[in-house]
Amino acid sequence: MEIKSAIDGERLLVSDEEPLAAVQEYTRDDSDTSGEYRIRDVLGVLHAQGRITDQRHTELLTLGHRPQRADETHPQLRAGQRITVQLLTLQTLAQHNLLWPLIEMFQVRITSSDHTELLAELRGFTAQEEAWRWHKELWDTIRADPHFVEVATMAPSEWKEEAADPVVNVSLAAVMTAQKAEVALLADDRLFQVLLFNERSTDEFAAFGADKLVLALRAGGLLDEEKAADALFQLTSWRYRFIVMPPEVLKTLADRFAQHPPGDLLRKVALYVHDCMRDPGLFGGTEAVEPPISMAGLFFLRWAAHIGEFLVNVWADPSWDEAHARSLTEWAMTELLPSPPRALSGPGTAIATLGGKMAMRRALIRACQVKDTARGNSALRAIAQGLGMTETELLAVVAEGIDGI
Amino acid sequence: MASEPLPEDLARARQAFRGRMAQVGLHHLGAVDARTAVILKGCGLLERDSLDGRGDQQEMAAIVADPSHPKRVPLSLGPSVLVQQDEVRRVIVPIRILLLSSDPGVRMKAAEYLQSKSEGNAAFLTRRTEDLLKNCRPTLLSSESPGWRDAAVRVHDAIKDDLLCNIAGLRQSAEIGSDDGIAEYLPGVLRPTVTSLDSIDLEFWNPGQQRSAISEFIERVVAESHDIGETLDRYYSKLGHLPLGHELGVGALVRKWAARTDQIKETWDKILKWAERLASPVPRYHACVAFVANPHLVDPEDRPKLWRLILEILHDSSSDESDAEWSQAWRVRCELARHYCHHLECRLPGAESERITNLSWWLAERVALLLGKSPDQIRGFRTDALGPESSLSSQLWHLAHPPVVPSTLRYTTLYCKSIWSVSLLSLLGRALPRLDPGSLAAEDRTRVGATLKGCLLGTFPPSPIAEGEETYAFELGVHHTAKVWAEVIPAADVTLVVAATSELSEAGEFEAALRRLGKSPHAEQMLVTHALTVKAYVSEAPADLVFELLGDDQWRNQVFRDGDESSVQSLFDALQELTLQKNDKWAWDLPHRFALTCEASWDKPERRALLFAMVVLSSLSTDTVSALQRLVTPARHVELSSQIKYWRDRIQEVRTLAHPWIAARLRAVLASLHSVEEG
Repeated sequence: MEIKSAIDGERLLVSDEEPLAAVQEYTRDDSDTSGEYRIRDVLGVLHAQGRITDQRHTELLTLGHRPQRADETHPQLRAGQRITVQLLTLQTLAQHNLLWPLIEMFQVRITSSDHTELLAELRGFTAQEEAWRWHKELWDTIRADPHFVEVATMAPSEWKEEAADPVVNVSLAAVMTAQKAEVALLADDRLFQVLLFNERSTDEFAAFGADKLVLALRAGGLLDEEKAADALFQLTSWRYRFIVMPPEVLKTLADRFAQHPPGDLLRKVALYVHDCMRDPGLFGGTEAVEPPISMAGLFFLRWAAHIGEFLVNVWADPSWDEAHARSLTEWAMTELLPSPPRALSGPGTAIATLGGKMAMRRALIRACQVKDTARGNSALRAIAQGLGMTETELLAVVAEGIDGI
Repeated sequence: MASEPLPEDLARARQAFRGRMAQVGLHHLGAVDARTAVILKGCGLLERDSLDGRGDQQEMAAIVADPSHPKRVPLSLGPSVLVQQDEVRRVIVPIRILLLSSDPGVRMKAAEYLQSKSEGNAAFLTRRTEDLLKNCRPTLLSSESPGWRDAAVRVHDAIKDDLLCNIAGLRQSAEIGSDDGIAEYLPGVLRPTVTSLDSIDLEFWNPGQQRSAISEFIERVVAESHDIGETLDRYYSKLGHLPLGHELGVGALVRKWAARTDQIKETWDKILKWAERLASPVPRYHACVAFVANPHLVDPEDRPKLWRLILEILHDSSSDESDAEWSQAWRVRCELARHYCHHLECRLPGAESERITNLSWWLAERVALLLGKSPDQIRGFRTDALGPESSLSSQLWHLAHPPVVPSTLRYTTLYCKSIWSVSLLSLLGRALPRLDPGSLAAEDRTRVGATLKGCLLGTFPPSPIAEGEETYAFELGVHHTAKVWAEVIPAADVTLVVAATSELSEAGEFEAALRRLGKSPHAEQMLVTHALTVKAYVSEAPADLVFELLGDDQWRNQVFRDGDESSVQSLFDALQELTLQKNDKWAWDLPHRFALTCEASWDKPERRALLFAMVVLSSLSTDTVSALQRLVTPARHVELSSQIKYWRDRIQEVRTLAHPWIAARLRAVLASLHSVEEG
């Protein structure tokens, strides 16, 4: 921050001009460093100019890992000289309260690339600060709210050994407590969720993540559609993996760009969907459920089904004109519909076929609830067209749907 | 207190929902096809019979059942019969539609037609459809079981999907000049489904792994046949679509036949007669092979005739649109095989390419036989039907570049202009001195020399196989033939090309050539990158060295940024293939290497566009997008917008025509191919 302030106050200049002297303590061993000065050169000037005491000079010499450059062939640095200082070197000097003495003694500059790096670091620092503030606010809220009950870590008897290890104890405290108290655990770390589901295989609600919480709050009317959509979108932006957005949430995001669909949010959702499908963490092996299906397959088909339903919801909404609904449908079939999960590379060709069919079937069922039959039919035909289906193929899907009831 | 709904209430609700589904799903239609109608009637949503308005079903069934019926117009076997309705009108009756009739008698006659015609050699249904028809028959013909509709729809769909049936349908349509029929059956023939191919019963799927079985087959055929023509017929029906090597080909077959017959003198005439009997140039190739492998069967006075046959095959590869008699027939076969190869690889990613390519050649020969030998007819088919289809399959293949297990057969099919020409040249070497090439006219000698040079520059195969160990004739390579040719017909250029291409087959020489690629002269760059492509396709490329060189910024920039454009494209093809074989680090690294070089070429718009294309294509084939996302940012919109639009348009053009697996790949990349909102 101190360096940033110096730049903002134009005491420290950003410049890529070829320097008369460069101060660079940290360099690769194999690089050419013949023209570069070191921290000890700077300290020598500050000491000689009476800016630091003898004792402090002696203490600070340990900062410089490399010998000073000035010798018979290299002139000493001079007070008032224009120097360019490497960002890392500058940060070291600033940490030891030498930034301002340095700025007062020399015309100090940093390069534009170092400036960019500094700003990036500052952004990271600001983000950390913000996270810390949230963390503090969260704890303040929890402590002030009587709904939260603070308990000592409780470990099930069979976990005593693990609980005795202080590291394990801390990291698994929430899991152990949830298991001991037989309550559901809210945890975004999938490892914790898996631990509890393994322990309580018949308990459908043993653990859940923030995405499920958002959906439950929405279902309970505690979070309106807009806020729920924002929250889920935020989770996807934070790289929470394997979230399936409900059709209504997709519609809420689409509604914000009804005059120029699909809009930035849905475009990002499309990237998210494809990223998830490529993620090696998406398990492709079949789960012990009846009928056996893989998480990857289920995830893929759910997205396809939700997209089919979402599109009919758009067509069912009279505030969407046909041209924009058609444009959104074409885009969704072109970019949003998921690609097969990479984890299913073997049977991926088969499941790719199912994706379009699933979207179509779910759309057909949803279209039956649309009051305006013509709009419902247009939605189906637009989806079929987006998928490249022929009229005969559309008829086959409809006939299968009717016959399957 | 809520109670469980009564079964009759549930049934009413179900029926109401069905009705609503039909209402919304079929709202835009005034009428539905017979298949949909039979399903709707089965669900109680339609009053009328599914075939109402399609003529007198009983009469149609009677005509179908009786080949000598006065209204039956003679037509080759197939999925339809032609009915003379009155003095003027003729009606085509697709048998599968009669299966949907509510009259069990009509269904029975349709089923009997299909079963009787599918027996014996004239089969026009695959075994899968035959079995389905056989298993469904009791239900299908039942007058009481409501299940007949399901059975009828299943058999109807299987027939519609059946490849052999579609080929037969196409033949029938061509016979009666029905454009509608051609339009109906052609897509099924040119874009066969995987399910229809599953039941194609090739005895020799993978000749490379069935060498002894093929040898036994040849022994058996020779032992069982009474006539060389019959022997060749049997060979042609099973293996004639492939140019197999010495011991698996017609050369060995004729040698073995000659060893057990006293009709040696008549063999020449009989083989030529056999070759001319079929409307295909492939038997002519086999006839050449028979004599090239057994030159003692050729009288000196017949040599010019044999050379004419040989030149006919070589001629094809040396000119684009030759007017030679069989030129169009050869060309359509090579194009069909390449098209099927592209099409099937996209449908069966990860499969063994030798099986796919073998099937492609089998299909190519089957379909080409429908076209006869008329050059005009074949040219018309190539232009109007095959051209657009093969262009589409090629585009999709290049976009998706599906991974398959490599094989030499695949490489020659995809990249050699004529597999038959290179195969014949490969076999020719041993017989050459006995065929008196010196007697050829100067023009013909030039043609042979030019074809030889073309094959040599193709650098295929990278490691020729010793005679007797080859599965396919082309695996022998043309080096030996070229050396013998150069001895008999002294030609400095052939000798030079032999020397230049021989060097590349030495591993050390080739690796050194790769290292200096960016600094090499244009011709060397072309030759080396082409050789690398060949090696990549047959799994003989020095992959570790190539990966190391790609990581060297200086080498990469010299080659990709500053190198010759056609060499860069050839190298890209090799790298794409290598990436699919090696996967892992190649898959995530290669697109980024192209992206880095694209950034390094920012000041060269044309090269930047080429490298951006490589980023798009490598992202598509590796199913990754990070390299693309690195380049496609709003800040770079000005420089890349035209390229982004170009690739979006290209992908959009083919997306809806692509198989779902490829369409899904395209979606993933399209989603990342935006820099700013368009429109």
